[in-house]
Amino acid sequence: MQLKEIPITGIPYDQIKIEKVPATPEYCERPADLIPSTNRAVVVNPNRTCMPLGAMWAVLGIRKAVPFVQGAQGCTTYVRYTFCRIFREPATIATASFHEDAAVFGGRRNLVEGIRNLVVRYWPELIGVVTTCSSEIIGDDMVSFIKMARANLRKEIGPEKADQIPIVLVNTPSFAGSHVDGYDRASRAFVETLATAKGEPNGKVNIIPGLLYPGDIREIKHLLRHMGIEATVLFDISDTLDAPLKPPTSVPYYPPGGTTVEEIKDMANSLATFALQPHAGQAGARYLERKYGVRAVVGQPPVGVQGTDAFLKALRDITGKPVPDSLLQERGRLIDSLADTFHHTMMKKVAIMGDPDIVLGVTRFVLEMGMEPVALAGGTASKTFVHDVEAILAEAGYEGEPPLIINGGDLFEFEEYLKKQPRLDLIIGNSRAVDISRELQVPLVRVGFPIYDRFGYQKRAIVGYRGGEVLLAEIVNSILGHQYPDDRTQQL
Amino acid sequence: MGGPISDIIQMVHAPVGCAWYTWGTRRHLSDYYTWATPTRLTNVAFIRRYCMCTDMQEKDVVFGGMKKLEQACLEAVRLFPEAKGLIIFTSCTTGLIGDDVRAVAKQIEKKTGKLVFTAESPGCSGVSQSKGHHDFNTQFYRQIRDLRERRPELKMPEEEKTPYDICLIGEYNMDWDLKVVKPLFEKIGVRVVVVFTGNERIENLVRMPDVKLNVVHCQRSAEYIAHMIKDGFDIPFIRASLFGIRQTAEALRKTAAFFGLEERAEKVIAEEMARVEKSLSFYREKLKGKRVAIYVGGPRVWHWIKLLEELGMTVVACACTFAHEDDYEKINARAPEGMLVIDNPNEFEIEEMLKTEKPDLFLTGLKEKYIARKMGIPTVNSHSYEKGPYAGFIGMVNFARDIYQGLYAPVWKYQWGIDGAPAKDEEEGSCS
Repeated sequence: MQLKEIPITGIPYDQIKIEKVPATPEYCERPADLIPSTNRAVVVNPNRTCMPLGAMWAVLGIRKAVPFVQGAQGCTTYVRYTFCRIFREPATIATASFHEDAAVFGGRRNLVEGIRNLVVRYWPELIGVVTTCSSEIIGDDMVSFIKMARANLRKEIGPEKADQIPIVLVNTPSFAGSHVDGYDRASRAFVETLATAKGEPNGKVNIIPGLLYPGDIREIKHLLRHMGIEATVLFDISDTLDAPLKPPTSVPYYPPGGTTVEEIKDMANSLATFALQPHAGQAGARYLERKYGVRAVVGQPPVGVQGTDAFLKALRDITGKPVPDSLLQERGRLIDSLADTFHHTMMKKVAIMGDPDIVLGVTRFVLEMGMEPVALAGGTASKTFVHDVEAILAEAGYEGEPPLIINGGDLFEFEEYLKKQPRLDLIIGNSRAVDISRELQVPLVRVGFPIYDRFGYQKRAIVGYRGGEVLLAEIVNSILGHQYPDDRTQQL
Repeated sequence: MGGPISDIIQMVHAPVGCAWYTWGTRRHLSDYYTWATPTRLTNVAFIRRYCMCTDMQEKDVVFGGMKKLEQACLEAVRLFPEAKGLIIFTSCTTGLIGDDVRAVAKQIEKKTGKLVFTAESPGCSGVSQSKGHHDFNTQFYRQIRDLRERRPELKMPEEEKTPYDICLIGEYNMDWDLKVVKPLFEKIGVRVVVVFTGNERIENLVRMPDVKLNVVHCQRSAEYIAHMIKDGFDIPFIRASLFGIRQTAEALRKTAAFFGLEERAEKVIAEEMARVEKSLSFYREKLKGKRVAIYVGGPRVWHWIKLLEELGMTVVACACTFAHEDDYEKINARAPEGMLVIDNPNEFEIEEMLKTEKPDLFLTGLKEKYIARKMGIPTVNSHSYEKGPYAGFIGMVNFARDIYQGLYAPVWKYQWGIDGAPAKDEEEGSCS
């Protein structure tokens, strides 16, 4: 800013000197009794967001589908904002746009007219109606509203066209759960509304990936292709939220890909349903099992050696198809990488945060590297999380200091605990851990939702053997880059 | 609007998402930092570092959330004694169940001695965020007015006042715009005592009615409070635009004229213009004749029409989400012949606007920019900026640079596929 003349490059960030003004003369210890989140009413730095986001995420994985959000505009705007930030893609989401009259008289008119406008302008192949805090508190009778919307549509565009567009209702009052629960509820709502038994099996398997990124889903499909297994991926965002730039494009913009309605209908006739993230997708898998006898396979996500092994073995057992050499080669390469790098990973202290399934999958993988978890924060409270973590530690024969396990809670508790640790080498988690990693001066390896502050994480995979190699490389290189003097990296 | 206030706890009384989405999202920056460790300040400023909410659960919705809110506020004050106050924001949930947050605020103020404010603007109570701006203006004004009566010691002492005190209203310190804007005013000899609300301390905001003049930048979100201060405290205000060379100069001239500081203003303007002239002439050469469409929330459309003209560009179309009548008056006053104006467009109208007006560049926010890109139209993030600051003289160079990068990025050459652009579209290619 002292420059006499401003160059054509403008003023880059490093030249705008911001003097940090300390709020207090010195560090003040936070009161110990308020550190554990269970001791407080206030949530400081939540490790989860709202339920409708999970449902909208799911709907965007359906071919030519539009989520219709029964609530105020902000419920849509903020979620679109979030999707745009992490996927860097357009996200078309419709809103009932509640104003004061909806709060007083209910949201019937908003839904009926909104659905009508959405259909005649966008001609979606499916509408996912997502409720919000406000519509749930007002007590909107969504089932009958949707019936009215349907009747209204039949009158306007004819019964044939009107009945072709399925409307799936997902109830997501945010005060009853997180985005992970929202996705879980969507998984059930979609199969409950659409799946239909045909009486004969289709030989396929169903995959409900949970809140995995497009790159992960592509990797899952790669595994299935090599196994020679036909599959339906429910909520397949691999193309819809990672679409090419190939003009001309017109509105309504429907990205390529997504699960088709026909595929979802046929999910009732599959051999099995794999819920790759138990907290996000299990409800759909269990429903198909109860109602149609489609076996539910609910396990740890296919991250790392054992996670991927378990996934492939289950696929093998259910379809009778062997794991092919090509995948065993991939496995061999991951094992080779682990053998190449354990000197840099073993006994390193790691903290992991994010959605519970990501934390579980990654924890299992870092134990395969010989790392020692010091704190594990799963943002959405779960009945099984603590037990699952303990089981993973036992399976690995982990004998170190037991890690702090935060089930739900918040990131304030996580960071205050980490500050007290004598040593920490690495944090693995999403963009919400950036400040903690900078302040504790340990590297952050980014995984999970949300990652908005760096590019490309949504496009790559951490699942499967190949995804394992990618994640392992990033972990190892972060440690090397941070801890190793450059004159000692000549012979790794 | 309460978000940029730098030394307070923003308590979001809502289910968790309402707080999560606002946590560190918009780029309103601050220099008020707390300690992360005994030797290191936090990585980002206090208001961006901690996000606090009551995380309303089903039972709270059924039985009411006031107790939880009170407890949460008291805990937050204990956890973060560096916070000088607290604002409680309501949401759809807590608005609908009818929690009396003002009563809770009174209790907190009594128990902790902190300055406690409320901002009640549930999402489902109005059309858009514009209603929220209005609500905040009205409520905040009333609360500081009452607070000054209740605790007169919070007013600015007479001996601290100068005849050159101003308040900059409607400036939110996006990407450190203030770092560029504030020194300009100071150089002409006025003192910016308060900014509403970018990087401002709560105690200063209580002193808003102690200045001699209010200078209103964002005239959509914050002119309300300027009017109320004028009516209640007889403090005049002027409207200003701090984007672009001519408009920034005009803002400084108008402010200077009020205080009789015209000469100094001219000197500052000349100095600043000399600093940026060489770079701007480079960009003028590159950008002249290009067509621009703008779609933003409100005032930036009319703020930027003149700025883009200064770069030799033409605004061929514009649209706003929440502009009011007075915004459209300002747009019309600045609009070049034949410019298309759309109020609150839907996606089809935006498409039509882009296809009929064929802009070379689309200035819009995060949510719309990706669809424009899929159509092959370059964008510049017009809400939080690409790489700001964009305000003032120096900011103009940053803005011009980002516009240039948008238009001249090599990627646009490759978008048409392996055989290049189709022959008939060659002329229409965004910058071929």
